[in-house]
Amino acid sequence: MNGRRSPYEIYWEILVYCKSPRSFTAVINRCDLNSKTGQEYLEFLHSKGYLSVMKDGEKSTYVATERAGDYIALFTEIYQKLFDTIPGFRL
Amino acid sequence: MKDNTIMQFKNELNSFFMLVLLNLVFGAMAMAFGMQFVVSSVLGLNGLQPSVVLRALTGAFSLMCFGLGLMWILSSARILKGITGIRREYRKRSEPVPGEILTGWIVRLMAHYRENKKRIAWMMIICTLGGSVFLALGILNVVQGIGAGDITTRLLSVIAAGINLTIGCVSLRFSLYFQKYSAAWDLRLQETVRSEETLKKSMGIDKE
Repeated sequence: MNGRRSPYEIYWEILVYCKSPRSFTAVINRCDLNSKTGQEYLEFLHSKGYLSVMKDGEKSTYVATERAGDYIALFTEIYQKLFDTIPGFRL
Repeated sequence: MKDNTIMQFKNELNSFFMLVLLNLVFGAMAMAFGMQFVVSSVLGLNGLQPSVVLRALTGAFSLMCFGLGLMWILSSARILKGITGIRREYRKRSEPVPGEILTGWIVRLMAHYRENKKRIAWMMIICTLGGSVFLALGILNVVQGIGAGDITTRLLSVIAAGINLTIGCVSLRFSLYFQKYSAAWDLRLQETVRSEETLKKSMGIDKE
């Protein structure tokens, strides 16, 4: 997903994608982030309790926690409301 | 509520796609007619111009049309590139569309608007300028037609005036449509900023 996204939109993308356990590389590829910013976002979400890290030997995967579900639901509601409440464009 | 959201999303995406696509076509027409009129005016190949001054004036306007047409096409193509991907995905997916997929598309459109906001504003200027130039060119054609001696020249001038005046009016209309689109998305961007404040406060998320 390209373009200018806000940090909250990126959090949402990461959390939705991490509903199933995902590796760091998979997350940054899917969410179109570079390693540095990807690491920052993942650490931040982990520190806030939205992501948990599962270790399997040397391999680490990220998975969204129950708390992430609240964020995803609230975000989804807010963004869908943008199309419900604001008069749209039509030819 | 979700059905309404999907319907509105679909209508809006299709409307904007059509607007940009038509805009691309008109940009191409502007460039083509601009080039044609430059050649015919400067070289005087069609012999329509009753005076050298009028011929030079038509040539200059035509050159402006050509340049505007080129910018018109480039800007339209860049805007179109961003929305065709989302539209393709939307068309491939059969309903009902899961809420998260729909939200993902909304996020992408939002990102697309943020990225192309200046370009869309530029498009409004190009459409207004292009429309004005074509209207002026159409008026010049009318003047040429009035001043022409024979029926054939007069008829050709009327046809040229018709084409130019039509392109001019449609271009000005496009400018209004872009303004309308921009107004809707600016409102959504403002609402997003307000909503993100809510997200930040209620969920305790605050990235430095």
